[in-house]
Amino acid sequence: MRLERNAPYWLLVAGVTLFIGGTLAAPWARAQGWSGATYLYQFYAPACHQLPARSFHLWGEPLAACHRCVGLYGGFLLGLLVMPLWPRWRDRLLDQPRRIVLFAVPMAIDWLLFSYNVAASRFLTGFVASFPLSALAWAAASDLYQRALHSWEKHYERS
Amino acid sequence: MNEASNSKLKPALLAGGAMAVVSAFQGLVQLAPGGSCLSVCCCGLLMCVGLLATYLYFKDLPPQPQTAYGDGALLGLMSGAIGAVLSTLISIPVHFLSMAVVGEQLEAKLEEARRAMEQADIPPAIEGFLTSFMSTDLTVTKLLFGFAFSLVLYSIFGAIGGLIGAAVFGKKGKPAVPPPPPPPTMVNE
Repeated sequence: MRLERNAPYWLLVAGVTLFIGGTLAAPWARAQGWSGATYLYQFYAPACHQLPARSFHLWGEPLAACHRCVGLYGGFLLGLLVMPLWPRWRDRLLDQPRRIVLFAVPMAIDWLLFSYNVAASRFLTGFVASFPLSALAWAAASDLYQRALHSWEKHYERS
Repeated sequence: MNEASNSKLKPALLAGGAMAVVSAFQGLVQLAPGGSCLSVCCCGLLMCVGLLATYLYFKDLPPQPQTAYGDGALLGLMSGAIGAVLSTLISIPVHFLSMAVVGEQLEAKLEEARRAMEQADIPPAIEGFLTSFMSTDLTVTKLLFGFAFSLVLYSIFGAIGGLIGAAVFGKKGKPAVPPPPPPPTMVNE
């Protein structure tokens, strides 16, 4: 599959950056006494337990996502930024996509060791699990973009 | 609606429905002592919607020359959005049911929080706004905000689940070629 750093790629990068930015903006907003902080925390709540004891802290407040979730989001973003530099690794992964399950194994083990895991292990295993997912997301965004372009071209040819 | 979106709608509806049932169950269980155990699954539960939808979609499809990542993401996104709509609808009766069971305990805890807020130095306008969120009443604003948040989050994580599903359940290989028609038979007269 030929992947380019085109509009959908940069849109994906911008979206993920914004998503991560929100988790960092929540503690800042709360530290400033801004009421919007409640909304930011509520926004991320359906996807994360947000336990303060299991979250990184900034400005004396917990982030809007736990260690593992921050690792997952961070790994995804870094993966997106690094994948264009590793085309052979990316193509091999896209050719045999079931391999992504292997990257999630350490996270699954860490999750099962609920009382024994530590902040670093939660963050790192989350990071490793989502890193290869970014290649799949890039391929999906490219695929959908190409299909949309194709259908628009067809539509204009007809009209 | 074309045939391709029709074939995606059924698995998306089934997975979204399953998601709504699980979230209703989660809403009830979380009120029980120690019931918040389900929230340790983080975004895993949300991704399961996309996984389930892609499993249902790909199980009947013949092998494709390339993994359909776009289809997986789209399917996950659809099922997440459907799940958000259904979860919000189900959350209304669940809310009234849970209030009937543990409403008094919850009201007491909220009263404590309100008292703590009165002691803090918060502007009156913001305090009034926060207090409206700290009640056990189900308001339209609360419902709309909850719906908007879950629509965005469920769709994002559903799409990621769909991607994983496409990678795991997508069948890769040469599409089956139909057998050639039998050669015409010559009849000697």
